[in-house]
Amino acid sequence: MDEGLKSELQKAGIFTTTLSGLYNWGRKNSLWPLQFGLACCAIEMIATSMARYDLARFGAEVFRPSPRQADLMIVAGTVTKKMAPQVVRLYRQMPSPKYVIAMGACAISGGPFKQGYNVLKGIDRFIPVDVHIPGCPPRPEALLHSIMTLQRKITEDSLAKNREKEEQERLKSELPIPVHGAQDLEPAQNPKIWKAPAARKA
Amino acid sequence: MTPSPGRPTEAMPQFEMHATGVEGATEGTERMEVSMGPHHPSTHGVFRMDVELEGETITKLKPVFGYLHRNHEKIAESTSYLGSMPYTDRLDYFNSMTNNWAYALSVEKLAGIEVPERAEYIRVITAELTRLQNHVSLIGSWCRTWGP
Amino acid sequence: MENEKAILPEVQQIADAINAAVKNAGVTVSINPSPAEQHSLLLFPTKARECAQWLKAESPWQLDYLSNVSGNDWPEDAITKQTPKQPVKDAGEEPMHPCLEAVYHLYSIRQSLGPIIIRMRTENRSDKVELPSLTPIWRSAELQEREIFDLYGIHFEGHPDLRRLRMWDEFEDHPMRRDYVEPDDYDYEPTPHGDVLKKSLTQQEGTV
Repeated sequence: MDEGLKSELQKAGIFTTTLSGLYNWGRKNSLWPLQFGLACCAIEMIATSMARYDLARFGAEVFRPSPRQADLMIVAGTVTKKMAPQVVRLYRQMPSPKYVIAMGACAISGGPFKQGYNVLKGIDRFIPVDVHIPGCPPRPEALLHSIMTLQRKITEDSLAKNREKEEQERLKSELPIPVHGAQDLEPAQNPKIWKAPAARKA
Repeated sequence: MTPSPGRPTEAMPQFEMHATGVEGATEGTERMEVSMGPHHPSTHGVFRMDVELEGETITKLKPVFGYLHRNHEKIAESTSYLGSMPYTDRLDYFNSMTNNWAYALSVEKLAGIEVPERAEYIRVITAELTRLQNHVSLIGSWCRTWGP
Repeated sequence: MENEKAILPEVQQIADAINAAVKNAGVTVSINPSPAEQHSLLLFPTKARECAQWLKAESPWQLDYLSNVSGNDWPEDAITKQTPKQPVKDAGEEPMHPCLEAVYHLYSIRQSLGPIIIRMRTENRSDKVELPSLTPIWRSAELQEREIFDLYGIHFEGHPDLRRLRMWDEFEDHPMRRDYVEPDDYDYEPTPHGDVLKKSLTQQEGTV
């Protein structure tokens, strides 16, 4: 619809929008995070939800303990290989559409503990991540900025159902859960979700 | 090695790993086994317990650790003394400067370094500040867990 | 620092007392060459439990608090060769052959003493890796000995519940040993570390 016509109608008290715009507006302003603090970044997440940097004004006030009632998983803290199957299981239990924020250096790529035999080098090896927040730990303002980035991403979601999108959503719920092997997780990463980036010769 | 279940051995018969009976358990309550997994709202952080409950009394508890094992010791094998100082921050992340102080104390003892008096005062002040922050976080968590 | 030295009893004195009290104890003192001067007592595994029981209950120092149990790994290349001309006093804490080791830090709460350090060494690193467990004497050793079993591979006899603590149960190696090889799951990092760059070149797109 034409922008000029829209503003004219607004002056007359008639608001126009698209159905997907309304739907996305409702979804992005009431994201319910899953209370999933693993390590030190959890403190920054708690600080973000407190009075000084308020996360509740973005609609994310209720931190649900159960994954069935949440639609945003903020992975805050180091994910170890012992914990990785549980993380994937929790992700599968969330109903779609669901989003993941990888908070902190440890969730993005292993962080300062990258040399670890028990540290999973990035949670995006197994689950698709929407927003990455660098920092060790990131400031609460950075988490607020990431929520705003996620909101912008949700605005661009299209409501019109098409095969590809349905297929993507279905696959998200069937991600294979890694199994504890003799030396490492099996498989070490999910090849459909993550490919090792090409190394540039130094 | 096959894992051995906890039971009194000949070497230490005085240690009973399981409580055999509970006094005061109300009649009609059955024994329930609950696995409070690594993700649970009341276990702040990752910690897993396999609990056997009789009513509201815990009769047996088996903890499972290792969900946040980040092998600081192995990394410290390949860095310098100063290089493994940031990792001590993240050991107990509620009062991080106290861990730094403990690590600094051990390195000074190994190397025989004497610390000036002003540094000792500053260390005490920062340790007390982080301790205050730790206790305040604790009270906040209590209000969140027990409150509405 | 001066006060600490005053309340720490002479380690040689403790060694002599144990040797006098427990038959065939064979306790020797390992000299620590660093400025910390924390000398330790080396026990034989066969007599370790008796010595520990005596130290806790009947010795004049009443060491009733075990604060820390650590593991240590002495592979082949960590042991410098000792020539016969070298006096035994400079020997330090190195063992004579590759082995695994458990180190206990003991305190006395009643007399405010400590730390007294005890070591026990296994025979070799591959198959004879048993040590007696000191859990019947100090209960706080229970979880710590489990951790050492998990990370170093020392099997503690007499432990009530010896299983892995840190790693998952199906894990098949002992990670803190010096010759442990990590699984190869690095990806590329933009900072040019020599080793990491080399490792990551094997994981390029298309070769995984």
